[in-house]
Order: sequence, then C-alpha cells, then structure tokens
Amino acid sequence: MINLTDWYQKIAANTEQAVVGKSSEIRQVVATMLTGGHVLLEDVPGTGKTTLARALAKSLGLGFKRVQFTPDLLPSDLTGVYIYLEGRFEFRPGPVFTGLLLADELNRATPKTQSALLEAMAEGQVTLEGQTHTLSQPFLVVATQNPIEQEGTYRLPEAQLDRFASRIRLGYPEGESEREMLRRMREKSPLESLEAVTNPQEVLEAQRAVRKVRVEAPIEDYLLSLVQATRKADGVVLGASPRAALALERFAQALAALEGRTFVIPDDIKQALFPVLAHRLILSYEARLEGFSAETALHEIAQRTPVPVEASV
Amino acid sequence: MPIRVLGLLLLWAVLPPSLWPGLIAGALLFWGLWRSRYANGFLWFSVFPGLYVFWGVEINIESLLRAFEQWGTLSMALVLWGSLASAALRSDRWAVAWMLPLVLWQPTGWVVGLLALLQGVYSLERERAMAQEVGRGFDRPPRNLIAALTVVALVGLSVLALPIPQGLDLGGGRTNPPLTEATPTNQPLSATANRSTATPTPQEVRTYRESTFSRFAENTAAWLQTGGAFLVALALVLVVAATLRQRATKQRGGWALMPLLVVTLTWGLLLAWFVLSGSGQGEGSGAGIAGPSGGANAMGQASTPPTAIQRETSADGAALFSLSLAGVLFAGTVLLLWLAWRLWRLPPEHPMAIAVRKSHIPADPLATPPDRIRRAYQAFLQSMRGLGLGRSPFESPREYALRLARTSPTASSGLLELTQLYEPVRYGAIANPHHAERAENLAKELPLAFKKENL
Repeated sequence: MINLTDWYQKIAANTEQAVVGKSSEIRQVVATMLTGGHVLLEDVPGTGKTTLARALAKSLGLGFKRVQFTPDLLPSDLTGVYIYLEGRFEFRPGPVFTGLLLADELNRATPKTQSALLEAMAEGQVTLEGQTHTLSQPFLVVATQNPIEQEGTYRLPEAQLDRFASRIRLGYPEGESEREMLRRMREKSPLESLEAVTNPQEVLEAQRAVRKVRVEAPIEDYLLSLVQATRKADGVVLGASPRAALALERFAQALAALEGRTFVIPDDIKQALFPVLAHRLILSYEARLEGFSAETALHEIAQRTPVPVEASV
Repeated sequence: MPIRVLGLLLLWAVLPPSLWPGLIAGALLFWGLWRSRYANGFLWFSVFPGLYVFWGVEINIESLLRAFEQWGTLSMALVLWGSLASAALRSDRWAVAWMLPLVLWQPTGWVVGLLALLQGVYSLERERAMAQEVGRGFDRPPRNLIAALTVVALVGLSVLALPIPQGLDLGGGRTNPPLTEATPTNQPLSATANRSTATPTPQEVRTYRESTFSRFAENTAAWLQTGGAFLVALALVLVVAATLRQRATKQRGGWALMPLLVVTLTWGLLLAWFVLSGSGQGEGSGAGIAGPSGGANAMGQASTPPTAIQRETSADGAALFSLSLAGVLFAGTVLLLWLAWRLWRLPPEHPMAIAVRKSHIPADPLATPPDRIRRAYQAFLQSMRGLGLGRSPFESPREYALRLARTSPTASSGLLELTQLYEPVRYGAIANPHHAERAENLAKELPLAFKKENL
C-alpha cells in the first residue's frame, strides 16, 4: 500500500524546485490528478502555468505534450489522423495521446476543436473513423486560459467547463517567493534538471487509494447540502451539477489522502469548494454587474451551511 | 492600538496643560483596562474622565476636590460598565450583575429598575443571538426566555416601588401631592401648588414659572413616560405573539406556556398601574419620575426651608434628572420593542440546516452521543459555550480549534489534540477507546484554562 503523504511530499518538493511559492496550488493540481479529473489553470500570462504543468509532468514521470490552441487548430491536430500509407490507412496519434497534455490557451481554439477534447477528457478515449483509441492512463489535461484578454477567444461552453474537475488560479508570487524565483532561474531553469520521483503505475495506485477514502454519511449530507445550495443561491443562474458533486467528493477524498487520513472531514470539503465548484456556477447578469462572484456565492453558502458536529446547546 | 495612541497624543497636544493631569489619570485607567482584557468598545471612554475632571471647572483646590470626587464616581461606573461589556461579549447569562455595586452606591428603585431593564434587554438580545447562531427560530428551551421575562417582571415591580415625585407637574394638569407635609423640601416644584401646605410667596411662584427648562423637562419626561407605556403595551403584544407563533410552529410543548404566563402577568400588572396612574387616582399617578432631590426629600434630610434660588436650582436638577431617567427608560423600552420585533422576524430555519439537523444531529440536541470521545467533545463544546466561546454551527472542529487557539495560544496544543481525537471518531467511524480518558481530561481542562485566562 502506497504511503500517499510521503509520496506527495516527494512530488511537491520536486515540483517546487521549478515553481516557487505555490505549494497550495501544486497540492490542488495533484489532488485533481488523483481524482482522475482535469485541471483548468486560469490566470494572466507569466504566472507559471506552463512551468507548473511541465514540472508536474516531469515529477510524475508522465509523458508530456503541449498544444498551443489557436483559432485555426483543427480537431485532428489534437486527436490524430489516418493517413494512407503503403495501401492501408494507418492511425497517427495526435498529441492527446500522452500522460499530461498541456492545452495552452484553450479558449483560443474554435468550439469544434475544444469539443474534440471532450471525449478524451471524459472517457479517456478518442474515436476516429469509427475506431476507438484508448488513451494511456493516467491521463491528465492541464488547460490554461487567460481571463483578461478576451478578444479573439471562444468562451468555453458550460459542458466543457463542467468536465474540468477543478479550476485553479495561480496568482502572482507572494513576498520573497518572487526573489527566490529570480535567484533560482538566474543561471538555468531548474525545470531542465528535474527528474521523475514517481511513475505512472504509482500514480494509478494512488488514484485507487484515494477512492477508498471513507466519506461518512454526515459528510455526504454536508457535501450535498453545499451542492444543492448552489442551485438555490441568490444571483446564481446555474448551480453545481451532479458531476460537480462527484468531483467535489473525489477532490475532498484526495485532499484527505494527501494528509494521510482515511476519512474525509468537513475541512476537506470546504477546501475543495472553490477549486471544484467556482468555475461551474453561472451568475446572473445583475449579480455580475454588482460585482458578485462565484467565490462570493460559495463563501456565503459555506457560511450558512451547518457542519455536522456534536450539538452543543 | 497605534490609532488609539495617536489619538491620545493629539489630545495631549491640543488640550491646555490644565487638562493634562486628568488625561494622565484617564490614560492610566485606559492602560489598566487595556491590560485587563476589557479592551472592547468602552476603552476610549476611560480617557474621558480625565477631561471631565477639568472641563470648564475653575482651577482651585475646591473645584479639584469636587471634580475628583465626580471623576472617581464616573470611573467606577466605567469600570463596572467595562466589566459588563466584557461579560456581555462572552455572552455570560448574568452579565448585568457586574453593575450591581451601583445599588450600593445609589440604593434606589430607579437603579434596580434600570439594571433590571438592562438585564431584560440583554437577555432577550442574548437569546435572539443564540437562536440565530444555531440557524433556527426562537425555539430554544425557554430557560433564557424565562430568565429574561423574570427580569422584565422585576422591572415592573421596581418601577412600582419607585419613589413617586412629589408636587411635580407632569403636564396635563396632573400634580402629585407631597408625601409629608412637614417636610419643607417636599414642597411643589411647579406652580400648581394648591395642595401644598407651605404656600410659596408670589416671588417664588414666579421664579418657578420662569424656570422654563424645568417645565420643558417635566413635559418631555411625561411625554416619554406616556410613549413608553404605549410601547410597553406593544412590546407585550409582540412578545406574546412571538411566543405563541414559535410554539405553534416549533412544537416545543408546554414549556412555552410558562413565559407566556409570566409575561402576561408582569405586563398586565404594569399596564394596570399605568391605567390607574393615568386616571388620576392619587398616589398611583406620576408615571414614576423621580430624582436625587426627590430621594433626599423622601428621607427628609433637609432641615431648613430652601430659598427661592435654591428651589429653582433644585427644580432644575430634579427635572434634568427625571428627564434623563425617563429618556433612558424610554430608550430601553424602544430597545425592548425592537428586540421583540426581531424575535418575531427571526428567519425560519434554513432548509439545509433542517435537513442536516434532522438526518444527523440528534433530534434532541442534548442527546448523548454513543462514543466517549464524542461525549467528551460535546461536553467541551457546552462548557465553551457557557464561557461565551461557543462554536458557530458553520465552523468545523478545526476552524473552531484555530479560532480558540488565537484567543489563547497556550491552549492550542490541547485544542489540537482534542480535535485530532474527535475527528476520526466522528468522521471516520474509527473508535479509539484507549484515548477516551485523555479526551475527557482535555474536555475538562481546556474550558478551565479559558475560564482562568478570562478572569
């Protein structure tokens, strides 16, 4: 049985050589990977999204492919093509056939190309010309999008957003982290010297271990209360889907496992709330005009949903 | 803190040197209170006695002595108030008891009445806050309500026991007769002196009539009293209605009848008193306005007839005191009314809260959990709640432990240990009987540590 706490510590320490001061975000990305889901990294350019994806791929010993999404990118550029060679059609797999796919600036591609990723992300397979090709496991899509620059972009449809288990915002480095980053990058990028500290088999084993983390009935109820509250919250047009509830549970399980626990506690659910649900909520026009955000809605929901603890009064 | 210090320095720089000693005294008190953990809300006021000492008072020994006497009184009141504020912040049930020494200082019905009113208002607010904190309506076991209403009953009784001002014109031509004709200071304070045996000279009558402030104050006080009576009646209706409503919706059983009886009886008595006093039935009238001079009069301490000027001063002082007290009572009544309204308007329990409570929190909130560690944790929560450091229903055990640890860093390791013992049992269904005793000890020790630290 894999010791997930030690396993994660190795990965985190290795990744943090290249990505400075982002331990919380690294933890969230690893947790997402352990749920078998995919990550949407959203932030302004230059905050380390690509570096994080590459560092993680190296640390996990996964194959890494990067696709720069542009408006003229075709689905076949992603999934692969059949070519006629020596009297027969041969399948040439696209970049999606890898361990970790970095879909850079996903929202710059057309909806058709974006949806080409749907099957790969949801089913772990690609169907071309009636033939189904299974992707290697583990398979993790790390997509990035820039929330500021909206010109020439195609907003990700809700269906696709829902397929991302988590959305993580990296933000600017805090305090001394930026100075530390400058020092580390001065001579050469630490990314070049990163080595794998685990392998795909261990990742799969860790994913299986996460599924076994217990979620007791009171925690289930707490989770469902939160999810259902998003559907009734003021200013929210579209709340969290049942898929979101599933993702929330798995994410919480992963967080518990990374802490070395075999059971989920309310804090795991609370920590999972923003990364798992925020990008899935659609706010009303009026709410957005008033500066209301999905995070605010979730915060309010968490503030008024009772946590299952012994009654004290 | 820096802002307070800056404010103090600015005051120091701006004010003339004659005020500095007072400021020093105030600052010392400020510092003392700051160090004594009563650092919430009222601290700035502790600087004011320093200003009060010299404000507008001619600098001489006599005025200094007189001022320091007042300063001492005011400081004592502030310290008591600070203690009350601190206890109220901890949600102590009898926070207002800190003000009881005031009764020693002024053993009058007014002080008792005001304290009782304050306790009543506080109890209602505390009950409301507690009900809201657990995310439900006003359906708690009614012990707090009974306590609050008992106190309100005390208000009524103490108001009944107040010394009735003698000869004070309350407007509308109603005037009280003096209690004892032999006491010169019980002579009427207004011009309607036809029942007084000590007939004032025309000059004295004119002097009183010219005391427009007294007239204004008396009329305003009477208006406040009358308004207060109506508001009290309205509050009665609201409290009764709220109690009935909660009983109808929450099915808390026969206990709800008790506060209903108490409130009906109390306010019924009080209203009857108001009605009687309004119909001009002699001794009952006057709406309970009294002043320090009235108290002194009742004791018959004055031995020589006062001059016209003395009487005018006395009338002004009595009227001012009456006006202040009537204002305080009126404000208290409005506050009571507001609280009753808030009770009525308490939002219904959130549907999710109901679902969670019904499914996994025992129907009886005090039901005993099956595991020793869970029982210990429950006992710990109850003790902490008694100290005013209760867990919010939306806080996880870890968040709660962190919040408490910020309050008392020395207890952080114990809090963490208890939380770590509790979590596997509660959320992982992992029994840990070997550590049950440790959890029980922690559940006893931690509240004691907090209690010790708060005292």
